[in-house]
Amino acid sequence: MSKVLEVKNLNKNYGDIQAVKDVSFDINENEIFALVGPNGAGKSTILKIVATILNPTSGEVLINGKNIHHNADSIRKMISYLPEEAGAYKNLTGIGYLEFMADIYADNIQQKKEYLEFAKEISGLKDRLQSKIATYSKGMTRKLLLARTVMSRPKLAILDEPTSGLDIMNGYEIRTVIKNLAKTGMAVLLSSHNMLEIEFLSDRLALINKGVIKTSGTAEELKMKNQAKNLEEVFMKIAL
Amino acid sequence: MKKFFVLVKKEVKELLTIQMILPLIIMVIVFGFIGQVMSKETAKIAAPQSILLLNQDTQDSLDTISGILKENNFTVSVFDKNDVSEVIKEARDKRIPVVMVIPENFSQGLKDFQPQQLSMYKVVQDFSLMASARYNMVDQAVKTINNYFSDEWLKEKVGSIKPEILKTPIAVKEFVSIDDKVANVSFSAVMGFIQKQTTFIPIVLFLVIIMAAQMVAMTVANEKENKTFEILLSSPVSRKTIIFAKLVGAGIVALLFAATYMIGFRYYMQGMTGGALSGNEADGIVSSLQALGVVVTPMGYVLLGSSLFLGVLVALAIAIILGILADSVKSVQAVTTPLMVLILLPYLLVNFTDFGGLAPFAKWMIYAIPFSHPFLAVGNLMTQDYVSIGMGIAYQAVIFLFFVVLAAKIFSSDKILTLKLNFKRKK
Repeated sequence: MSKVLEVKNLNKNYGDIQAVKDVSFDINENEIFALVGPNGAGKSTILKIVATILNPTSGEVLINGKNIHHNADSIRKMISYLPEEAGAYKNLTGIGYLEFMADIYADNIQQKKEYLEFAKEISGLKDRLQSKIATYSKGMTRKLLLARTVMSRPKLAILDEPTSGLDIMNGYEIRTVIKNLAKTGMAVLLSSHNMLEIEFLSDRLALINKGVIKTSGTAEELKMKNQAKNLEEVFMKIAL
Repeated sequence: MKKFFVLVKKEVKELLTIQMILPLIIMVIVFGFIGQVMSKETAKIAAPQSILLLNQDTQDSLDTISGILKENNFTVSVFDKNDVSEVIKEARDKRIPVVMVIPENFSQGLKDFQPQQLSMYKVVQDFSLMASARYNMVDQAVKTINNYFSDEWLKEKVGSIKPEILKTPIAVKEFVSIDDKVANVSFSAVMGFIQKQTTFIPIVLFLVIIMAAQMVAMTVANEKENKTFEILLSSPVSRKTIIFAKLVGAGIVALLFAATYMIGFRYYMQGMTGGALSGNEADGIVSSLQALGVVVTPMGYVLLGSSLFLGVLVALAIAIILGILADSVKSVQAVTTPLMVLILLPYLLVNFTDFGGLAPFAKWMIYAIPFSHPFLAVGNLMTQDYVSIGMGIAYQAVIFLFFVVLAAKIFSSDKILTLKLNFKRKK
């Protein structure tokens, strides 16, 4: 299996605050990799660096073997990022928003059509796609945004807290969509502080606290290694 | 290029919401309505005004006074009872704004060279500007009555010289000179005519620049708050394209607003000035203005339009940066306040002071503000000083490029997400 993402010795400082300290990990094709940790652990900062929005203070990030900060324009065609609690343009309809984003990602009309069809299917919003986004519930907006994120079938989908603040039904549906997408070849980097979600979704995970990766591996490996019943216990043992 | 147009379309769609369009349409309708009302009121003032006379003297006095009033565009009604309170009541009922009482022995007293007193009751039923204009006309009529009787006295006492020569031995022949051109016309007539043609331009400039700046700062802050910016910044579209699309999208909407404001103000001004000048008077002033070189050419309008558009673009470029600085949509008002001051200052100084007479420091300060140039261009347009307008445009272009490059630098760095002004009190 080839590596889609390689993060090597990544550091990020905000003034005097060191948000990310010497972080390294990689993700393979078809793999869901999760960064797990409390609020302020540095998960979102890492995701934003991988999404080419923030620049690292030091270290290297490679996607498909290319350094993202030397090849940002070509890298952005391979990735897609869903920020935590993101909104959409409220004056557009759901379909209008998807068309707008398809226009940004697609190189031709045929590709745009394919992206739109895929996004419609993933969103599951059907007729409600004709409504203005301003009328959407939080769950509907999140589904629309997830559909937007994966419509171009990126090599790497970067999902920051994909189900944060959603009810059980919406959370479950989104998790199922992510899991199925990974089976089609997409690599997924996601962040969460929901341990149950991580156990259900991720192939491998890294526990992060105060900008440092404390441990990484599959959920089973980590539980065995730390003699814990669940990931929550693992985290508490490692973080303390 | 395709992505640029896609982004511009999105910007325009986001900005042109029903919440934005509706107030604009209402504004045009309201201005049109005010213009219509003002036009009718102006016509009412130009029409003969009513006055009620109560004569306590001879028929001669009544004939003389009513004759003078009729010559001064008044419709005279005579009250045949001798009770002032009743005459006031009659005036109020008939909405006649003025009652004039000619006292006993008025004519005889004047014949004996004794100063007399005319009592005048202004029956106030509203406090509008139009009511004030109506009463000013009555005051003017009283001056004419005084003139008439002083002329009579002068004829009697100094019969050899005409009274008008005695009262104004020096006549003034007024010329206006602009640059090297001179025309025989009064300055007030020229100024009045120019102001009527151009008053609304600086107001529209002011409103459009402020509105455009707030609009774009709001969209940037909104995108930042909703994190749609993060999605856009991670998508395969260059940062410069995002900035230019924002500028062009907001610029298009601003121009649309400017055109709508212009239409609204035109209706308003047409109503205000509709009946003020007769055709011949206006033609005379226009020919004097042409002799003075005070003519707006199509070239002038193109330059003014360019100056306005660049002013809007500079405001938009600065507003994009201010939008980034905003902590949230709610704080947009606070971060854009310095920009508002920069727009308000030249608007006031250029339009309401003797700009040419300002101290050099103040003048250069105004020149340094890029928003001054569209306001200055309005005056320069009249005198066809295209070099000054052109220099202003060039300066605005340089400032615009500076802020666009600065915005591009911010967009390409972490600052797009980390830069913010925090107005919360530090603990």
